[in-house]
Amino acid sequence: MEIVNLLQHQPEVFGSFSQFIADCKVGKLPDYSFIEPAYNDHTGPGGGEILASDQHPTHDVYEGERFISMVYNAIRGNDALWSTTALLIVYDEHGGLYDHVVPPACKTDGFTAQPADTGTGMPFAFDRLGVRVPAVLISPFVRKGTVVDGRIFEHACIPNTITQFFLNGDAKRTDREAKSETFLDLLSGAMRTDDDIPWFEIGD
Amino acid sequence: MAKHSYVVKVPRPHAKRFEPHRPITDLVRNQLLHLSLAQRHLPREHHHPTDVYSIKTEGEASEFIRHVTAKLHSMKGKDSKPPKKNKPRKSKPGKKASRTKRKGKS
Repeated sequence: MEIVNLLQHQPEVFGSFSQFIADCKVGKLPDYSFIEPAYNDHTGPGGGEILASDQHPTHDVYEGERFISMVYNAIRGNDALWSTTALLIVYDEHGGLYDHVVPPACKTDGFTAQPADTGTGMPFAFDRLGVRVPAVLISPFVRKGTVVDGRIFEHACIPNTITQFFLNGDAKRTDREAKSETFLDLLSGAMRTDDDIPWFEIGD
Repeated sequence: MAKHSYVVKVPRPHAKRFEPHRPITDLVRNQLLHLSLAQRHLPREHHHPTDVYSIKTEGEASEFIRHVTAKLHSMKGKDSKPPKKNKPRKSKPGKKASRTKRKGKS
């Protein structure tokens, strides 16, 4: 579905952030929710100042931290939701910082971007990943102190995890997605207690 | 909060960080262009009066995005169709030469 069609059907596909918070409170979240931050500093409907929370330069990264904290608290504040939800925080860019790890090759999905579209004058077959970006998996079922190392997680892991969990992997998808890692084994610990897990006090 | 023994404070950024006059990024520019296309599915009276290409700042972009988003949501459940494209005129029977050919362009 093209993005224009997505936007045209916005009411069916997208909700507002306040709706997300309200849905968390009453436990009416859909099986899968994708949350985007605000990309602009702007005046709110009530006249207040709203800062961009996307953490792109030159936006204040603190606001992104507040935004993530709001999402976390909304889930954490509902016991039933907290015990059945995995929150995955991911970034699509690395912020321009140096990374000593060379981007590895990856399975292609058969699509090649043409030179006119890549901005480099050369085609790109999506056969190589980019530099590393952070990913934080939050759930009471993640074992305390877990740091994942030595495994390659990429963005195709997200649809692969969802397909494996909800459809037992029974769906048409590309080789790249089917052969990517999933997050499921990281969610296999015993449920942790409240004492171990933080709550965020968010500044107004 | 008594229920949570491990509380982490998350501060609010300084008030001076608010910069709605900051120029928009290419990311936001693309979002605006997509929304302006989506806006074509709305009745004309619901269109935002601003030409999307004249938007320069984050504050202006947000106003446009908020307006179009609200209108799209207000049309929920209603049939919205894109404006009809002007069909190319059919040449009348008997006229052999097309307009392009008459001008002699290749």
